Amino acid sequence: MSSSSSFDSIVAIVKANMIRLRNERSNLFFLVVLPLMIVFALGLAIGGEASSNLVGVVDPAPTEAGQAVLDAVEDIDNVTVRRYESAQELRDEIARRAVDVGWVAEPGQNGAVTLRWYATAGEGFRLREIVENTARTMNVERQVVQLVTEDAGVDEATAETALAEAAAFVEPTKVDRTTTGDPENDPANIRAVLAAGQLTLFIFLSSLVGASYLLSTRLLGVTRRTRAGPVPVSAIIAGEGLSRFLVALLQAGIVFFGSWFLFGVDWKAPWAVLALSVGMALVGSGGAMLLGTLARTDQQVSAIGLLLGLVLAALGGSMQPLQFFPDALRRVAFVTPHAWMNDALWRILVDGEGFAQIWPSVAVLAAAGTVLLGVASLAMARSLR
Amino acid sequence: MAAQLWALVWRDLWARLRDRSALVLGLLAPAALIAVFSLTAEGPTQSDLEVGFVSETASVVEAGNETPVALAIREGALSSLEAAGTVAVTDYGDRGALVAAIEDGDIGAGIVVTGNDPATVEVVQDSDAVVSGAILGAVADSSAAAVDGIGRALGAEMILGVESSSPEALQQRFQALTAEGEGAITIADAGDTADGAVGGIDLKTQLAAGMATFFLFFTVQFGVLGLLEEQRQGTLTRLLASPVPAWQILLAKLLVSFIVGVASMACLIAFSAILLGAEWGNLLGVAVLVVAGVLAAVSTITLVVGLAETPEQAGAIQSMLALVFGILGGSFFSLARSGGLASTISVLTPHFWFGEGLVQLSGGQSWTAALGPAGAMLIFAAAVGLPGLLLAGRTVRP
Repeated sequence: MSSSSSFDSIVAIVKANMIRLRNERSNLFFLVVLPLMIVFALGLAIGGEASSNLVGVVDPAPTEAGQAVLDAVEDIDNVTVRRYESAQELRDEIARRAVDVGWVAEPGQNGAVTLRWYATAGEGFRLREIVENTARTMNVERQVVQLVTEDAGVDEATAETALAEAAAFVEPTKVDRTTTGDPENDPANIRAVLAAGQLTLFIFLSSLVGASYLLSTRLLGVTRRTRAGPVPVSAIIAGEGLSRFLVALLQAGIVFFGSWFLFGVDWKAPWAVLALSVGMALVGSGGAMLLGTLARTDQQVSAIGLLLGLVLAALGGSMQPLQFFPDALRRVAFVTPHAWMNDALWRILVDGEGFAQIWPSVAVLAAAGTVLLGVASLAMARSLR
Repeated sequence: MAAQLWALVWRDLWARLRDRSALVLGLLAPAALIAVFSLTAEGPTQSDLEVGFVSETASVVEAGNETPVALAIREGALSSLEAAGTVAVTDYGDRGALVAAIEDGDIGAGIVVTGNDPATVEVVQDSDAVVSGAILGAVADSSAAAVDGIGRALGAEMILGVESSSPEALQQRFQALTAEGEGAITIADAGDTADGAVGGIDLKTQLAAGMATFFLFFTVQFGVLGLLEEQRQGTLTRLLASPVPAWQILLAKLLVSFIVGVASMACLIAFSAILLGAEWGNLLGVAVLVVAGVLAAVSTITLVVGLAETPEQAGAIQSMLALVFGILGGSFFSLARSGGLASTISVLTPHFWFGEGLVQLSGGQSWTAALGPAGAMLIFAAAVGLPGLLLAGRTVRP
């Protein structure tokens, strides 16, 4: 058996697998449309406006005081204000967690206003502090007028005149604002992190679900018949393994370039991201070979593929960044390959690190992938004997 | 006749139980995801917002006689925020130390008071600490306004010849007015509980419901999809040759899908409620939602089976629909927050209405609150299921 014909066999197996992949039209959906659709929808749902604190306001008869509070709240960077027509509408939006907090402004006498406050259970009190302090600032004027009228026994107009006179002697306290550091959590970074999570998720998920190709080749007896020909077991394993690896890389490329070109995701250090993707593709193809060898039916492959593909992704921070995990769970998350990749991606996209800093994660993924591929090859070799 | 029907149903259910993939998709996968999500939903350990404070005015004024605005901020506003558990305040020696602490990430923002009469209040914040910065900014504004206001009141009373006037007395009465909420703006709690909270759906329940409905559209395949499998294996032709009426064969498959779907939902609801503390609300209301939701899912797979030619094709189409509905309907993340078109489209999915039903039930509402959303799911079921029945019915024609 010459090595060149062994090479030819590998190429033939890979080619056959790629043709099958292309011929199944649903792959266009699962490999291209679905991941990009999720990246897009995530951008809508969590990136951009939706990531901020959403404040709902019902203000049918705006007052100066009410507007001042609203201005102060709108000035905060990560707050988005939505208008609603009725208190019931606002309540419903808060109940379905589409808005975090909000108020209904009810005008009173002499330009006074009452803000009826609504909040999602257990949230939003921090915004309340801001609103309360803004209200306090706005209330000072009336309060001092009241103090002076009571103490001096004069009417409001006289008190106001005296206060205006006094203002000439009292120099107001200056309040300055200084901002330091570069913003990290800007919406573009958040969108990139979300796309990164999907990159991790889909390399692994598509690999596992693709194990059905390997399984059906086995079930239909193609593998055995190939074995009957002058093709060594090692060439079959290499061919199937390489096919799974190429599919994983293809999926990585689709998410990587798709979110870059279609949605303007800035990968910051593209080569480092690609290196991580290759590492994850090794893990994915190892997992796929193992699943394709051990499973008995097509349903089993898709059920277990979906189970592992989604659960490991959720635990590994693909659906919600690891940084938002409870501390203990964040440590547990690193049993998944996903966490290694997602953590490195966060460091690239948010902290501005490059390959020089994240290479240990690539090494962990590559090592895990190699071990998985090794185990899968042994299992497959046994099944072919 | 009923005996034949149940024999068919029973045989299929038994087969599904033995084939473990139904258990994986109907129970194990959603339960595992619900568990992971309910853990991640707790978020990072919520620490207080770390902020800092420096008064560099001590050198200008006598010891123990701090500038009023520094006192108002540190002893007043910041102390009460600290007591409420909103912020944790660290005192620094000078501005340099405070800024260094911000740059090191020890604190998000801080207040520096310098000078005296008038004092200058500087709010320093890291560009990412928007909430801390905004709180301290609002605190600085309100404290400065109060101190200045009392100063002006003192001046005005001197002008008006009030002899008993003293800064301490004015300060005290001013605070009393603030505590009474006297002024142009009053804030009143309007929600269902003391802090204005609206008794809505909690995050855990929302996530559990999302996962349960997402996998439901996969789970119901185990039933109706069997028509195409039996057609391929040739067992359908043999069944049709038997004295079992054709409609019973179709009905049996539909019942299997329905039973598997209801069982999966019931187990997941029980699992998340008992082990993870999800709060589903009125049980009868939830049952109504489950039945309507399962009917919507069974209708979908029926239409898919009616349109598809092979079981693989039907499985692929149903998976696509399950994924698209799940994403649009808010199974993984809520599009409702995005506002705009996306939140409008999500209304077309049964997933959205299932969640909406739970929102309506939340806060201890009676089961009738679920009727509207359940009705929406039934409309979906009818619109999809009736053409589905007609098309799938052709499969069982002898």
